Amino acid sequence: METGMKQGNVSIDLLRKLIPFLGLAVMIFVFQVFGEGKLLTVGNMKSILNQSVYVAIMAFGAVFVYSHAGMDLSYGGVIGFSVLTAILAGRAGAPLPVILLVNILSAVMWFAVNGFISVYLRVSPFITSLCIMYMCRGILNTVCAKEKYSVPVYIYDYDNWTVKITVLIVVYLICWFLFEKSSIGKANKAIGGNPLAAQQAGVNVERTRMAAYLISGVTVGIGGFILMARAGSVSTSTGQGLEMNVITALVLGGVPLSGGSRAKMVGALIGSFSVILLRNGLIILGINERVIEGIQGLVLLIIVFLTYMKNKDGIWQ
Amino acid sequence: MNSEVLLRSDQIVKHFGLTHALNGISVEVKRGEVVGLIGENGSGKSTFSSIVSGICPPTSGTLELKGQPYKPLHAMDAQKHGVSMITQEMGTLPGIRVADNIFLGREELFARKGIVNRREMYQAAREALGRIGITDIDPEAPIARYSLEDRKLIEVVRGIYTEPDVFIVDETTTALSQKGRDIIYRLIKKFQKEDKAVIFISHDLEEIMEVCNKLIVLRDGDFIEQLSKEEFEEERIKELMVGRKLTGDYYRSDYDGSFSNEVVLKAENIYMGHTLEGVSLELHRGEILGIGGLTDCGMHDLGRVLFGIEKPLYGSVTQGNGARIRNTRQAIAGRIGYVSKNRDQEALILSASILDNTVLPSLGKLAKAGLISKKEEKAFTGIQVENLSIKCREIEQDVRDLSGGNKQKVVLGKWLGNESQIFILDCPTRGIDIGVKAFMYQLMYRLKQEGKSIIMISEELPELIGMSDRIMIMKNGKVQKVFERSAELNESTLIKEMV
Repeated sequence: METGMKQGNVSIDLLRKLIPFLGLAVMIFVFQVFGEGKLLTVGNMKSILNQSVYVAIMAFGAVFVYSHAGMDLSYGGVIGFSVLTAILAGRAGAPLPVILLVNILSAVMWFAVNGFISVYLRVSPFITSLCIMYMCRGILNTVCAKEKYSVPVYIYDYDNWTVKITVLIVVYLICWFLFEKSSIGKANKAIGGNPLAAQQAGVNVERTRMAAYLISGVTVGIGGFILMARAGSVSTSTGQGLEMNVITALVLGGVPLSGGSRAKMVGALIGSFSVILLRNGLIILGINERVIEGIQGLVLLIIVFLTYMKNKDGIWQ
Repeated sequence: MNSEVLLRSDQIVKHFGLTHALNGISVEVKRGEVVGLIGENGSGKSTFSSIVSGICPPTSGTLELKGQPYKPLHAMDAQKHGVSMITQEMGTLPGIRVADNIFLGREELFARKGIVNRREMYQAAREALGRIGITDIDPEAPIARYSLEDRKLIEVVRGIYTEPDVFIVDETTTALSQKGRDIIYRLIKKFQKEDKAVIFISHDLEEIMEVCNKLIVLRDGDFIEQLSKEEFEEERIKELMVGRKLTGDYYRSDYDGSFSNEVVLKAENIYMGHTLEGVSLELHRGEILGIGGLTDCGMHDLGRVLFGIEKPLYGSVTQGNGARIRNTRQAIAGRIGYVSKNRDQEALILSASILDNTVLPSLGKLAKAGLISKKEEKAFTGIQVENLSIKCREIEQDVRDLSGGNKQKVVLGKWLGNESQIFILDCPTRGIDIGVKAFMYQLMYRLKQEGKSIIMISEELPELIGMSDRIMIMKNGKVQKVFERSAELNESTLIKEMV
């Protein structure tokens, strides 16, 4: 059918860009009003920020994967694995740079596995990363079954605001430049939009997708360090459920799970605060934590559904 | 002849948001008429036929079918009333069998107590295919086994199975080879003989003048003129469509046909499956090399091999400087641009902006220390939008919203921006209106004069004859014959080599 004639959706584009910010603002308002003012207290804000930092850092890398219509569900498992290996390295006497390196490399390893299997062996990354999540959980359950391992005491020093905010900003800026200003980000978005067209425009589709998984692995490793310094130890439940937070962060930030040019790095930042704020606000309202998981699932589903409807051609024609 | 009015539209208006696609169309279709609906891209012909066939409702206005008010709720409902349409885009479902596609939504025809008798259904499908002269499609086979063309024909069988009174053919023949077209033409004749009506939409003016006995010209959503068979005259129709007198020549006017001796692209002994069997060619600097043949002669595959999209089993593609082409990146590095015949599927990212699409092959060139500035991207795209006069609201508008001709210009803009020296154009004017078509031909000629080289793969013989320095006709995966440019060359000479 002829479609050479759609106008007046400038405002829709603008609205689409603003929705993540509006969503965050509305949530702050609602939780502040109905939560008897407990939301915007210094203590609570710190708690929100603390949890948002590592979710956001993981989400920055995840944008690369999701923008090319890839997928990864292993964030929680892999970050747990990263914390475990780094703590074991620290207990064996490794100095700080080595600990950080172990954090990053152990995460990158799993993402390389997911990347390789889904890009080159063409297995759905949904399945691959789901399996990886379970493998990591299995390892954590086995190793941490009897005892809880703690970090060397000096690591606690890195659980401070200077480190956290600096790392957050630096990782964000690097990811922003890579994603919005360099060919790697543009190529990932192009693949998400139309892999055939990307290939015919000279994009090395396999290598670009692989690079996205590796970048994502690096940010999970960095997030692992932050989580490790904060938690101070590793147990069977370290990182559990974080994959859901990362994916919800992307969706709340307006990053389409189907990939393409609408993916924005700032969405991952905003979305990460939104998801933690959502969980935090519900707790303030006195809702049971178990129920919150259910609510999060429902919110995710509704928003994915709504964005799907928006992108579907027929609606605006 | 029974001249009862079969279908009447009264002041049909259709708005899509702020866009007025149709501004009050009132027309009549009588029994025994084959009505050609004609107009440029965006003139509203597809919108009109979608309304008639129940795909979308009008904003206002009424329809009448056989004297009764007619308000189809959806396509199935329209079919029940006797209006059936073959759409421009693919209408078959992948992943299921041929027969299931033909009887989609009508399985109850073969159901006993809720269970479908599949054998009966296959038999009925086989008969239905046979009635229009197709014997080589197995109704039990999965649809994926068949080519785009065969699937189109399967859709046709589905469309006529209900024996509609009004049969709408929307841009179907562009996807078909001569054999498929002949099947459609025969069907149209049959409908005409049975005193039914056909609404035929095509960009191919020659075809439409041949097939139809009445023409309705639309422009920008307005009814412009109605012509009867005696009034058909190519120049007049074109003028009515475009709304002004077309000046200058459509194709290039010289019969010079000269080009440099320098070979810029060479294919040697290319073999690929059953589609290419030992094809060699040389493209020269400043040459327009036309490649023609039937759809499945291998010419489209050859284009893909030349650009490195497909790897041949045997044989090589090299550039003038001896560099081999094994993938698209090497081809692009060698300043080759490729325009796929499947524009929306392969050449464009519809959900991305004009800017994103245009800069994609040139990102490496635009990057300074790894970073690409938005300002440069805008300047880069702006040049192409202006030079190609791409009609758009802004350069960050989604390509999806553009008309066919403007989309094709964006594809060309990508390669012009990347300073391509060699252009491989596969059906570059398919589904494009006359105005943009003429623009494309002028552009090709200008590129030739600038010393660039063009391979034009086309199923339209007039444009091959009109534009090429040499025409290579392919048949069954081999080069059948090469013709030099001359004023004497005509279509029947080429067709003889094609079939």
